Amino acid sequence: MQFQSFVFLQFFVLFYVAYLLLMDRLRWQNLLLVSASYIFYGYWDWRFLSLLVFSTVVDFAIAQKIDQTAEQKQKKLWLSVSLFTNLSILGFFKYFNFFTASFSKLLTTLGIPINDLTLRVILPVGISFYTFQTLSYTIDVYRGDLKPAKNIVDFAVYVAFFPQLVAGPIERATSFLPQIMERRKIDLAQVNAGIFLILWGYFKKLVIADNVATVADPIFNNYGDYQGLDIILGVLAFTVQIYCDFSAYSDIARGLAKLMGFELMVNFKLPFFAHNPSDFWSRWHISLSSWLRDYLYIPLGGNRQGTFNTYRNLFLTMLIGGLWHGAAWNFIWWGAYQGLILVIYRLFSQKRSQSKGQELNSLVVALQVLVMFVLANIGWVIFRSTSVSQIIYLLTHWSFSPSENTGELAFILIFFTVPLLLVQLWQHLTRDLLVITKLPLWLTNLIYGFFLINICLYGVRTSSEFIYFQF
Amino acid sequence: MSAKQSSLPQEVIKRSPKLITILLTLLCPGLIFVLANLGASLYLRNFPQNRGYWLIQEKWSLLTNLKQPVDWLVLGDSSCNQGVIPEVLEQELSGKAVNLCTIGDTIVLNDAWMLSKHIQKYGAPKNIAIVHVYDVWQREINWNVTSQTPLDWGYWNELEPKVEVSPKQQKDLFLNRYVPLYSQNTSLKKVIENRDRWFQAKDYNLSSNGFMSVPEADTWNVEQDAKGHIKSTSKQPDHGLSATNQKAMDSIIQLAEKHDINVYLVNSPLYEELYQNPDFHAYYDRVQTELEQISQRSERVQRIMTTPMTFSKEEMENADHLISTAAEAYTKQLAQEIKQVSALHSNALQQN
Repeated sequence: MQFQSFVFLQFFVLFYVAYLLLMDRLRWQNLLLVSASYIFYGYWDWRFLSLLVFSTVVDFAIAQKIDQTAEQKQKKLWLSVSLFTNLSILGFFKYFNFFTASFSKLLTTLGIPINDLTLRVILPVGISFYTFQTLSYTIDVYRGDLKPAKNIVDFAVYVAFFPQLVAGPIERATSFLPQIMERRKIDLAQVNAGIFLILWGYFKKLVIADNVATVADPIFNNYGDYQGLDIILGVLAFTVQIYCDFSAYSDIARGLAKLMGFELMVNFKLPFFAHNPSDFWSRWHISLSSWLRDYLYIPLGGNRQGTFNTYRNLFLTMLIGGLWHGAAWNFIWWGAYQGLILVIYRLFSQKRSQSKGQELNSLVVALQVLVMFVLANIGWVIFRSTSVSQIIYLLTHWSFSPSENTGELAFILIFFTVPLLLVQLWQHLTRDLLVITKLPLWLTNLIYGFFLINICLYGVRTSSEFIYFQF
Repeated sequence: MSAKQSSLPQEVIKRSPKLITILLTLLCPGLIFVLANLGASLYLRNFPQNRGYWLIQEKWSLLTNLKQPVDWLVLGDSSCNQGVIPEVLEQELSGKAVNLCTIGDTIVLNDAWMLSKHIQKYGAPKNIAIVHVYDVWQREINWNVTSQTPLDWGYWNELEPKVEVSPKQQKDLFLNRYVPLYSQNTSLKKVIENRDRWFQAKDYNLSSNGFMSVPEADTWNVEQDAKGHIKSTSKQPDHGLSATNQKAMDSIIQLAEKHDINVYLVNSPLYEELYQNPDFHAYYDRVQTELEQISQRSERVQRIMTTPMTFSKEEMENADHLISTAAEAYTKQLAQEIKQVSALHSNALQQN
């Protein structure tokens, strides 16, 4: 079920009425949440519900075992079972074909041709998101940071909570489970923020992302036909598209959760204003980057084992972060690229540490932001390209010379990006992501009315799926 | 001026607003939207941007505002809208004529509904001519187009034939009818992006008896359109009358027999080179076989122009739409054939 479909609108209205009616009955409300989440997920493909239920049951049971076992070795064993089960499912459904195809290609290159080993495996929607969520749960229980859920319904809500089930944010049990287990109150301040997030999310997805996609898609899909300024416009369009598409999903998910009295973590904090790669990753897909930091980078040793190991850990973490996005070489190259620029920036920042404490001139800051923006754009070229030759072509055929199409492409890009820039600049200057909710009521209503009218007028009818559903 | 590096923005929740603020936050943007939609609706009524939608509304308005019943009700698609001149028909055949032809996507269902409405309001006409381009017979309902029929909600249950409309289709109908911001967004976007079009009313040259005159030929368009026809007919060699058109014809035949109405099924004009194309011709003949089967079902139904009247590209706007000078010739020929068929039919009835 897509957020931007009428089916979802009907589904949510019905669900929400029932949810409000069960406000004083936590058990029933949680049961409603699980049922609604399974319907929401099963609407795509009911067969994959079994995987979701399987992960839920297995991790619920294993967490209980870990908690009940006093012996460290036994705890570790149960944790290994959880890791093995979850990663095997993820590995099979997401990476099997990629690894077998790459392996057979390698053997063929070495002169040992073998038959095709790939299977017709369909990727279950959102599998990477909920697998990382269940993994963090058992790891937290193992570490003693969290008491396991006593009720499987509560845990099932944590795994399958429908607003964020298929594209995040990847929630941590430490912050989300207590909200599920306690009676919820719907705070009007939360509702107020929720309305903004939902409207802004739909505006970003349907008006901005889907429209700028009409600039990015032809250039990336038929890149050989383009060069010069058109390539720059295509890359910029994809940068805007992927941000608006993904952050829109997070915003809608968080807005819906707020209407229900839940708080999900902020997943994006104006990444276009990042000064360096490390800053970028504290603003972009924060739930994933913090997951990778806590469950991969730090366990690998973090920055505690000398300079070389720190760089190695950073690089490996980003490489795996790239692979998390999908079973394709471009994601691996993208992860490696992100790791590389993190390492390079870290090298330079260490050399600059003498001047620490000095405040930077705003011109320098603007330059830093610009450089980081360009680096992020290069990253998106790698991310979106389907081959190394495409990456090379796009990175070597850009220039500032226009073609006859440039005017039209630029118009679409600018026309749809201006509202994003205005809102983000305002959020940046006030350091407040909810600044629009604090305007005089008449102005807020006018802005919301503008969002609604434009969603209707400019919203793309054949709206594509959210990009991150495939991850 | 200086700036601290990387102080991340936060979500600063506003202190709890009053319930009335939340209610206003929900209602006012909705109200703004409703007002904008109303504005769009009024604007499109005064400055129509979609010729097809406008034509449907104008022709229905013509039908519901007729001062007296007519003898010749000309129904059909846009080829007929600019192909049949009621005055010429009136001169050649006796009686009052009106051209109520709209566009192809309203299919034969719209013809049946118009006939049904005429009977409800004025009684039965003596004759109806149904003129369609060959490919309309296989089309199904297009709810975007059908929704533009300017009758009260639920008209699909009050006219013959009655049509089942599912809740999903009713939702589409509602959006298309009452939310132009959503349903006519393409037209509105074009207007917004082109300031010259803001207050420019289009003059479509529609006469008071429903004939739309197109003065100039478009030879390039005729050829391109013909290529499109050839491509689509060679891609889809099978032809079948759509279920809705079948139902509509059943209803028309039933009404014709009940009220003694003469029904003339007429082929639209065609571009001569298109008709000569062998693939197209083969497809066209299959359509004729089906139309023949329909006409065999009732003595009230006669086929006219079984061999279509063809024209050069200098006389056309596209492969099946005529300019006004050619429309006169087409209407004369149509009247001539009706006379011949009527005479034959009368003789046959007398002999029986």
